[in-house]
Amino acid sequence: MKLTLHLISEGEEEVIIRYRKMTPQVEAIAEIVRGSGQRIPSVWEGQTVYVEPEGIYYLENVDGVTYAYLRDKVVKVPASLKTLEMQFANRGFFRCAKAMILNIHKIRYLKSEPGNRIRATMENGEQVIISRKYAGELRRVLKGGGADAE
Amino acid sequence: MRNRLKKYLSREIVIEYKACLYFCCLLFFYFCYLAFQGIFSASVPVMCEMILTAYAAGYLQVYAFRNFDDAERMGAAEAAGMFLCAGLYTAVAWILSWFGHSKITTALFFLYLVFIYVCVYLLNKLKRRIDTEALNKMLEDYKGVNRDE
Repeated sequence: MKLTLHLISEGEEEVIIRYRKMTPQVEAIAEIVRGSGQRIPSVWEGQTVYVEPEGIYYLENVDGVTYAYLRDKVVKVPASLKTLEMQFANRGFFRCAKAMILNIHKIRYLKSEPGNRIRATMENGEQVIISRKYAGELRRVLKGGGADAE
Repeated sequence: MRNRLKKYLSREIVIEYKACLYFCCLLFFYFCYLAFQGIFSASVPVMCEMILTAYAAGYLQVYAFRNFDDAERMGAAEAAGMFLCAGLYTAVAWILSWFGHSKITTALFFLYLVFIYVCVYLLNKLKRRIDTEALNKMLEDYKGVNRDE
């Protein structure tokens, strides 16, 4: 795909996409321009839906498939946890176990547990135990003030 | 393999910490016992026996009794572990004559150990409560910072 950039001194900034056929790549570019580029394409009941990262409670990998747990539904995400972790680390997503990423903004309450573990109670009432291995990292992220630390 | 090694090492560190902590408590009682008798020098072999017993009790505590002094709740299993470990120290003290086979001192030693275990349990609980407050404060700050951005 050819890329042409024009520097303008005045007037409204504009993006024109000239395409022959709507492809996922073109769609992704359009999504970014629409300001929803950070939405996660997911599959729910066989249909592609775009999920706002802020609405995700946690992401979990089960048998090699990544699921995003929302308030009232679970969607399949065609991306690895590692990719999602890297993509959304600066938006409060934190690896809390080998197969799980938590959205810190959806944590209601944290409780210090024996053995330096942390119990996180999510806003939907679910509880997640963060092992000593990841608890230290959570403390670091929280101390860093989140986005500033990234 | 690496995770197993880490888990093992982490348990060993916990045992090391417990052995040092309880050894200090044993020494305090032993020194008080000697001081009350007007003796101001301690026996090195007794101190060696104490540290070895502290290690043995540490292993027992971590591997067999759910690490009762760091438990979330003091249930029947944890209480049983606490009395058994205190009993182990008392039995060793009696057999190796740390307190000259004095029944009263040995009984006081047992009660002292139970008291120490309860204190450590309560202190660990208090430590976690303070930590919980700090964690939730950090969580609120984190959410606040990110909301403002």
